Amino acid sequence: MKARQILVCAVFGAILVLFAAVLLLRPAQLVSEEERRPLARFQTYAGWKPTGGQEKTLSGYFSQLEQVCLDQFPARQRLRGLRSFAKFHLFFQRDAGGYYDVGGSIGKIDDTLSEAAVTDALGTLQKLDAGLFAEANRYYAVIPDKNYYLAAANGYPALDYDALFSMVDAALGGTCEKIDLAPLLTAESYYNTDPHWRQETILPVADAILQAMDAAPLASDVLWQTDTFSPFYGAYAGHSAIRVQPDALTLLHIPAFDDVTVYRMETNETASVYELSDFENVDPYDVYLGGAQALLRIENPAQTNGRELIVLRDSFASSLMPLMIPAYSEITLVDIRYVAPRMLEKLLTVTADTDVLYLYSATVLNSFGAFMR
Amino acid sequence: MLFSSITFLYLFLPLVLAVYLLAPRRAKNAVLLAASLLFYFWGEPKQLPLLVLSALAGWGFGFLLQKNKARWPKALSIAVCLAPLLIYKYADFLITSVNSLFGLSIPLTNLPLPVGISFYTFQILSYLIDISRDTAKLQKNPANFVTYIALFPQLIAGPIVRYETIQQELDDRRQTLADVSSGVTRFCVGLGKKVLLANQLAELQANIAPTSALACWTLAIAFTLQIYFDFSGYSDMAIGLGRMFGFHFPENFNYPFISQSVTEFWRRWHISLGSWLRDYVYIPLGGNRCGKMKWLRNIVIVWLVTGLWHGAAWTFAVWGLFFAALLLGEKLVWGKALQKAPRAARIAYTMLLVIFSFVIFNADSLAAAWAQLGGMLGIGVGAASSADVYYARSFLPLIVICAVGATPLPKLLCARLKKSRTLLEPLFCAGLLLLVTAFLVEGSFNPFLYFRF
Repeated sequence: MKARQILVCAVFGAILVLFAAVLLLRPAQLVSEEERRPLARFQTYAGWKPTGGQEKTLSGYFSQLEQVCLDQFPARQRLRGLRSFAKFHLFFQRDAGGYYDVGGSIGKIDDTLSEAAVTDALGTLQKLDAGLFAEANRYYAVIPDKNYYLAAANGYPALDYDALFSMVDAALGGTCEKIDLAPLLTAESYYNTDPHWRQETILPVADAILQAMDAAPLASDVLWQTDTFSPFYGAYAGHSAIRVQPDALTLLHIPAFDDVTVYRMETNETASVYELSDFENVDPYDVYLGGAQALLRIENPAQTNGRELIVLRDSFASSLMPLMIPAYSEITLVDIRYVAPRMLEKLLTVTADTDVLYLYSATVLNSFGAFMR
Repeated sequence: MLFSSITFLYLFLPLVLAVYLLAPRRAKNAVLLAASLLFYFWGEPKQLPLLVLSALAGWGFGFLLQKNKARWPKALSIAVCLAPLLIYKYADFLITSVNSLFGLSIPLTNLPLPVGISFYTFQILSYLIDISRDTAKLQKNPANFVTYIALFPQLIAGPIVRYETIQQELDDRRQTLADVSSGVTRFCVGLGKKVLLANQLAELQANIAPTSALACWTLAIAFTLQIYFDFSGYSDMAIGLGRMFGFHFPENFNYPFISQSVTEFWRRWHISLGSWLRDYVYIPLGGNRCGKMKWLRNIVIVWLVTGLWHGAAWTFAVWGLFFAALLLGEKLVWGKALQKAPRAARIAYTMLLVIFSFVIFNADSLAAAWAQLGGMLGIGVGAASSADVYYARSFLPLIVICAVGATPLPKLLCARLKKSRTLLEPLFCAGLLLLVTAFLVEGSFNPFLYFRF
């Protein structure tokens, strides 16, 4: 009896003291690579600056300290993994904080169609379509997100994709040619641990777009070489803390890429199609065309047909566009999440021969305020 | 500060326990007082003076009430000590009601409700009334009295500890290994109830809206279980922490969901509030030792107060009156018939009414309550959406775990296992603590429901 009482007190005390000691004594961690975000760090009250328009109050400061303790807690990622494990295997829930696991592939439940968000996003595209790009050859394609293939088929709540596609068709179908990507993809087209598609599986997507634009060569006619990097733990693996096998990230390239120049117009830098050092970034997916970039111009001296393509895009295009480089002399990628659409007139030259592609994932179209005003 | 927070568990608690253990006996109350004030200051820095002034006012009035047994000192002291609660909690409710009744536009005070004010005000009142009745001894040391009122284990969400319960322990208490050990286990169990069960039930409620019959039922059942595990979990943590520091707080819950009548439910639910209202409101009004009409009036008053104590809104008033009607019904109309029904039917009857009551309790307005109650009967809503079916199925095991956990079964099982396995209890506590920590570091939903009272 007494032994048990001593053990209870000792175990309880040891856990409290051990975690407290590490929490207080360990140097502060700057970033959570898994969650892809900076971690809160201790600040004195004098040095603390509230964010988000908050007033500087003691309550706010104490809340910030609570956040510091959460972020800097020892073994945080392992404990998050334990939480996900418990949700699935102790409480038998079908998802952990909205993330689900289907055969080692992680998805995130997103079943609410925000008609206002989609209308807002399409309004921005319609404005550009009727203005700056009015003379160009215009195309549009919606990239179904991973849920399109995983969610409903496995009993998870899913977005009303038909309604979303109909809204896009109604907004852009009158002036642009539609390229239907949904039949060209499967659940396997996407990484298991990330929302993005795998470059090695989207040659049919590149072909469909190139065919629609009457551009050559098709991606499947090019002799691609491959480089594989692993382990690749995507955004979903980090955010959900679900333990699954890592992915391998494959790059498709050809020798002609050595002569291709990628201008990062935001920073006025040049780079190559794949900057291998970017694989070490917080998001290794940045290896494709540098990840999130407001404006990129890709010049391909090997293609002398003089054809130009402008793509209004999100992150999915980063791994798709390299497959289309052989067919164009110049490709410009515009991400209006990071550059205001009204600025484009000054930054882009559009002629009647220019091909313009609106290429967005369902997720971005369904996110309110995704595009800059 | 929340018990179920990393800062409390891994900074505040080990520090306070260590200092308390090392402190000489005469300094232990000072350590507890400092810790309690820091605990409150962390969450409510601006409201700390109100807490301290209220406690000091209660302490001062104690002297007056001991010397003068006339009615006016008692009325004066109660009025003064009750005033902050009335102003902070009910002023805007009153103004809003008057405005809507007479079409006026009297501006609201918009005063923030200090955390725990309902609990500590009732503790001060119980002390004053007990002093005036000579059932409690006068506390001459102001620090000890403020320690009693501000004692962090029970400061912000009870149980409502009457002064007479701990007056002896406040002056002279012993920390035994058995108490600390049982306190640790009780604390871990409460933590698990709150973080692993109540918080997850809250997640379920965040995912669905009362737009189908299935969703309305799921929400109602989930909230009923959530409020039980949230509040009883807090009470377990409070009782456990109290034991770690040598105090013995009263029990606040006794498996209310196995009750076989609504009357029995209220003997098992929030026991410290029920007994407080019985002793300080119902019995002084005459209780049931008076005419039938007066007795009916007393019942209605007590349950109106019970409702409004939980919140300044008409939903809470209706919730209280709903229970008044049920208790009167059981006493006067169907009580005898109920006793003849099978046990399972009696429990089902009680649970159904309790679930209905918590729909009213949880609603933002009476209209929302009626809409959800109607939805549970299929009025104005469809059967179920696919998302509702998904979430109901996904959380069904948790609901079953909670339903079983709300019965005495787990306790009986643990008691049997504890006898035969020495290591089981320490391993159980360690496992619970680690699992709770794993859920807490994510920083998801965590507020205590009873903080708003």
